[in-house]
Amino acid sequence: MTQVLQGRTALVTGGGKGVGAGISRQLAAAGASVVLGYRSNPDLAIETEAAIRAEGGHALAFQADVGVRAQVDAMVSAAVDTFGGLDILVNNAAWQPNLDIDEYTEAFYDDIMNINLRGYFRCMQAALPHLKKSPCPRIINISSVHAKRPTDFDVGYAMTKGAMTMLTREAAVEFAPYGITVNAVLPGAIQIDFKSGYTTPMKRKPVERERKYPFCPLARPGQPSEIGSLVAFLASDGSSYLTGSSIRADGGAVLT
Amino acid sequence: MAEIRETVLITDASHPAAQTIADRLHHKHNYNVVMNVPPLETTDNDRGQDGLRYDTCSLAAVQDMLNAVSEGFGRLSHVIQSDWSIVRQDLENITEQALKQCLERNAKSAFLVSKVFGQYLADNGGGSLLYLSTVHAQKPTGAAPGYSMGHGAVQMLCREMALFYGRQGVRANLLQLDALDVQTALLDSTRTPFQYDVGTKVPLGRSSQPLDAAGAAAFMLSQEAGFINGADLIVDGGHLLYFRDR
Repeated sequence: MTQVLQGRTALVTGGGKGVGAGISRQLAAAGASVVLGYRSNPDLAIETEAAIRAEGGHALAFQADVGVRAQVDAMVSAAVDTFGGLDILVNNAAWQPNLDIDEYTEAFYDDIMNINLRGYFRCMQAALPHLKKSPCPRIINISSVHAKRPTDFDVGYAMTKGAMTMLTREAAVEFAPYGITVNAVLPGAIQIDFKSGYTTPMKRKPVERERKYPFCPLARPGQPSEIGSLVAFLASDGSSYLTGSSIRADGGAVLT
Repeated sequence: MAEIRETVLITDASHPAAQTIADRLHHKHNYNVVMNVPPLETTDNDRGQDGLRYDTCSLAAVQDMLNAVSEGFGRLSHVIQSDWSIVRQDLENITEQALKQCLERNAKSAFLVSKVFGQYLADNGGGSLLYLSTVHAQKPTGAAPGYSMGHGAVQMLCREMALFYGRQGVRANLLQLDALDVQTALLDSTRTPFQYDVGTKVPLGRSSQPLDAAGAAAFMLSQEAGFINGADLIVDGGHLLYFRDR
């Protein structure tokens, strides 16, 4: 891959596993030094860090809970101290309890808002002073097709994604004078490894159909690397006139 | 045969269209209208006709409100969720606590009202949920990000409720209203020209009025809207179509 991000530093929250690992590896392959934030699964984060280093890249796994401001500040400081600055923030850390509204407790609601929405805001605010110093600053929010289409299985998750669309647009307007572009990526179904209890399983099993992924014109799930490729483009100079956009990467699923 | 009048709850009387909606629903469409005044609000709209003062950001209080409404006013058919809060603080400077409170007033209230009253309506013969939202669920404010983020969340809440409660006979819809009254000044921004010089930007040549919201709300509650579910009805005179001055 062309080293279009050579000399830049990226911070990827939730960057050690699943979609986040795909993003981290693609950014590193494009030449960026990558800080992989993780909260609860050091083994996978260290595995991803090692894989990037084995390919000649620069990576640092750092434990931080995006729900806690002090830990976010420490993670941002680690990126700056280790690699000399911060150019790219990829907000990716999120969770979904997979509950209908009648099962949602008030505490669940507060938790998902704290992580999925205010966690993104928290990382933006902490990264902002450093991004202002970058020649090519980028914020990329990993959202979901459920920012547009309801989930039918997790009301709180969809609410955070709807709110994130507006967080992205507000930040695009507010941070534009600093040269910072802010965009959102909306993945559809992505094939990830559930071995570490990545998320709670789907509570309603999809109806069995002859054709696999009938909801998706490309008839397959996406790969984490495919989300990573889109993020790497958004992080590059080639995306310099894109800001406030929400870009689907769902194989066309929302169209059906 | 005595006429059966349907009862409507409006969750936040401080919304600038709330009183006009209540008057229109009561006088023109013959609804019983019950209004709540969240206790943290100071508002001139505190008419106190029914004395409801429940904090819509607390699950326990919303459950108490349901008990009070059902005991005091009989069967409820529609809920208009109207809670709102505009905090003029940009993303760079807003405190975490201020953003949290703003999101709670705009979005958590809607979530809790949907959870409690949606299930009540489903268990009691159906009805509808109507969210008084804003065009800033899709258009950034440049001045009050907590407001637009909260309403971005409400937009997806409405769609989820349209699926979940739609199967149980409860419709869920949303009005995207242009800024009304005091909201216009609160949303003024040097970062976007959207909310100034509105008269030249709105194709219909005037700003939004509470009666515009009242007419749309009355329609969305009516039987004529009985197959409308999960919709965003934009009531802005075409303001969102504005791109550049002519």
